[in-house]
Amino acid sequence: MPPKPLQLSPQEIEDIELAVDAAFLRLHGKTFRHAATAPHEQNGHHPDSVEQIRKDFPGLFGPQDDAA
Amino acid sequence: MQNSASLLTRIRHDRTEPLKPGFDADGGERFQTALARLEQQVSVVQIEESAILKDRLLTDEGQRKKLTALAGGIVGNFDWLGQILSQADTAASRLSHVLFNPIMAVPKGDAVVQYLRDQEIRHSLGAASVSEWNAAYLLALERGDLETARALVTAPGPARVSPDIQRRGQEAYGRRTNPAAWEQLQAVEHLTEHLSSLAGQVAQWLVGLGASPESVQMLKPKG
Repeated sequence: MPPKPLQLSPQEIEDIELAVDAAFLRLHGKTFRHAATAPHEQNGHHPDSVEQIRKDFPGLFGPQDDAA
Repeated sequence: MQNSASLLTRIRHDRTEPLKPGFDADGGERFQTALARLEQQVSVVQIEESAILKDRLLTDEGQRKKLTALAGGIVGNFDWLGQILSQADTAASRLSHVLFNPIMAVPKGDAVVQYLRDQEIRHSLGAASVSEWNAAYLLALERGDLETARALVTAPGPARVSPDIQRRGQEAYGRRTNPAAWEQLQAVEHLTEHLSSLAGQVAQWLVGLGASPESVQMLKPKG
């Protein structure tokens, strides 16, 4: 007998998403929902990120030695 | 009028001050590096300026011409300050994009279906007051319901969600969902504020020496 499909209420889905957001925020510094809707992602481009921006502007971010 | 002495006084004062409120260690270091470079550059110019002003063989007109020539020759040496400001502007714009764009990003799928969904969301508020639309927008962002938030701010006709609430909602959303990007944005904006003020004074000083206002445009604060 095939397993019964999991039925979740909207509130349960919301609770799960909140829990995933909280865990993702701790691990990656941003919530899952934020990461999933990052700019450019939907146009097939590589999404911009804080890391990339820091890399592109070494004169503005990070220890002064990085800029050398 | 900004002169070399008053500009140097401001630079030296800032250099000896402890880390200004709002700067993190990196931002403070960037600002101090810029101050050190400026102090060195302005000090050199001050010596040349002083020599011209003390030259008894020169008439007032002769001094003016020499100072103008001096200013014209050095104005390009300060382009780096304008370049940092320009980079900071671009970085802030990209960080804002990373932080706030998800709110307005339209999901994949059928555009007509999405339009109908947006319409349905807006219909639920109908003729409610601006304050109710504002509250609904903030609540939607708070619970991460970007579809509702976007539908409310893209309602056709006059803005139903006030611009101030939009800005505050965006900021709260960015701070909560991507604190790293938020902190970087604050740091860049803070650095820009201090460097803009400094660049404005440098521009005034160069024009006072005789540089053309057009040649210092890059140092003028934007907006």
